[in-house]
Amino acid sequence: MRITAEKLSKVFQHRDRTIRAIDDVSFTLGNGEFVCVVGSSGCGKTTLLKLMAGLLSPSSGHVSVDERPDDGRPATALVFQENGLLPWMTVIENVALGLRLNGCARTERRQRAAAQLAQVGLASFAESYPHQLSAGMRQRVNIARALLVDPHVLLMDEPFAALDALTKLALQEELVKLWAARRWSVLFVTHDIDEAVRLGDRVLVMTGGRGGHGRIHEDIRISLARPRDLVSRATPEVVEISQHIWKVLEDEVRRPLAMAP
Amino acid sequence: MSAKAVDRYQEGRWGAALLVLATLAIWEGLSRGGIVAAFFFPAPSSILEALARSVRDGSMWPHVSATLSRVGLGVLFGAVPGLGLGFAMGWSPRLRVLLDPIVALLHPIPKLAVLPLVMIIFGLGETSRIVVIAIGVFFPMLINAMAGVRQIPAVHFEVAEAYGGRRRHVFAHVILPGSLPSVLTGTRLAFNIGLLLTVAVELITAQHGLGKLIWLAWQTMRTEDLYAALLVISSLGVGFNVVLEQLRRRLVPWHADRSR
Repeated sequence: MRITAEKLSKVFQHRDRTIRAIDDVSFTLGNGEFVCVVGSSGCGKTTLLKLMAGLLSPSSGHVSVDERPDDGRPATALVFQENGLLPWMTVIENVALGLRLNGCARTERRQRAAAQLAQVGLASFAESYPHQLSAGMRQRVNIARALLVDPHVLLMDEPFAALDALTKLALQEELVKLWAARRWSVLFVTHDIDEAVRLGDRVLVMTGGRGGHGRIHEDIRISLARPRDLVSRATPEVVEISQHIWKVLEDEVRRPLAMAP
Repeated sequence: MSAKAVDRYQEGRWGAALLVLATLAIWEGLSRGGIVAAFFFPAPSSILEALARSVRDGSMWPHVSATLSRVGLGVLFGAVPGLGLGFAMGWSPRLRVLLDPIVALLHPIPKLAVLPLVMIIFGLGETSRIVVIAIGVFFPMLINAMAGVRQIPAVHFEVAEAYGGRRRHVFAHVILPGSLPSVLTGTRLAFNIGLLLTVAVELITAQHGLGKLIWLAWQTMRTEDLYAALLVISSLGVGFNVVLEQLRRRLVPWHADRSR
């Protein structure tokens, strides 16, 4: 399945202010591709993801899906930032949420959720509540919930942003392993340049900043072989690409800082 | 709770019990010794005696049952509509904008002050009493239910929506559980305000009820009976709160570790 954003724009009306959060964005996410979107905070990354997920409707342009097999699988599923789990549901109920809302019977959905939980190594935490888990475990649950509905495209909204560096590395590896085995497509939003370059087949560099006008400035192909060693990653090529992306984003990140007294 | 915290907690409880017993003992001594006038401050033992007598001869029960049924009916007819409208106003910004000024205008009126008006409309009977209690209970429930829905983070609504939830799913899986802690606070307030208003209404107009009992005791200058009635009212209030606290622990397990 291929998913394409065509001339997407999203305008928010805030009292008397108009903010063009996404401005004429086009790109294609190929079947099985892992694409990262990197940009500074407020550049419209999350808005873009919500448009792709159908949680927001675009002001103009559209998202189209091609070559979708008729297998009943949902086109997309969203992995949320931290706090994406419902605190009043146990871990297994959270994982089974998608099945439950689509009318799957209790016994079946619990069985499948338990299997999915085992796959992310959390089988023994099924009956715990989210607040009893560490941040890293919560994000594993978040991912398991999305995987259980078996989407064609996994949309991920800065899923590892709140994690410590070591947990982040571990989860990145786990994610890539799962992806390599199942080969859904991934659209992964992050503000971490290294993360984007290490994980993605392609990196879309978004510019825009707080004022709006989120655009894709550049679409960079990362031709590193897989499986990649995510730890010893400092090959000259990676360093060069990361530096290049930083140069693009640097101005935007520094501008608001420079204005501070 | 750590072991040390448990120790400190237990210590505090014993301390509190000791303080109550000491106060009662001193009161008893002062009253019996004639240092304070027994007419104003009858000894705790004689208050208990008066209470026991009224329980034994069956004269207490009609008052307790009258008060309890008024609190019950008032909460039923006040809190249930308050809950419904509070959910609706919490969920729909449009409805909130529409009704907020009316709520803001009516909420601060002391509910006892509308009793004469209500009696003109509904007559001198039981209906007027229940209506006043229900009006008093309605607002705290509405405000807590609305606040409970509004403090649910937007991301929880998005999660339900993203996984295919329709409006009824959002209600059942996000709004209801998400607002539950606040709704239980509202329920607790409803019972406390309900009891307060019931006693106040009974002081003014009723044949039976603990408020009426206080009035009768005052008229006949039986201060022991007056204190006995206050003791029963206070026990009812404590009883409501204990039951609702147990309910909260059972219904809100995901808050268990944060409470105390």
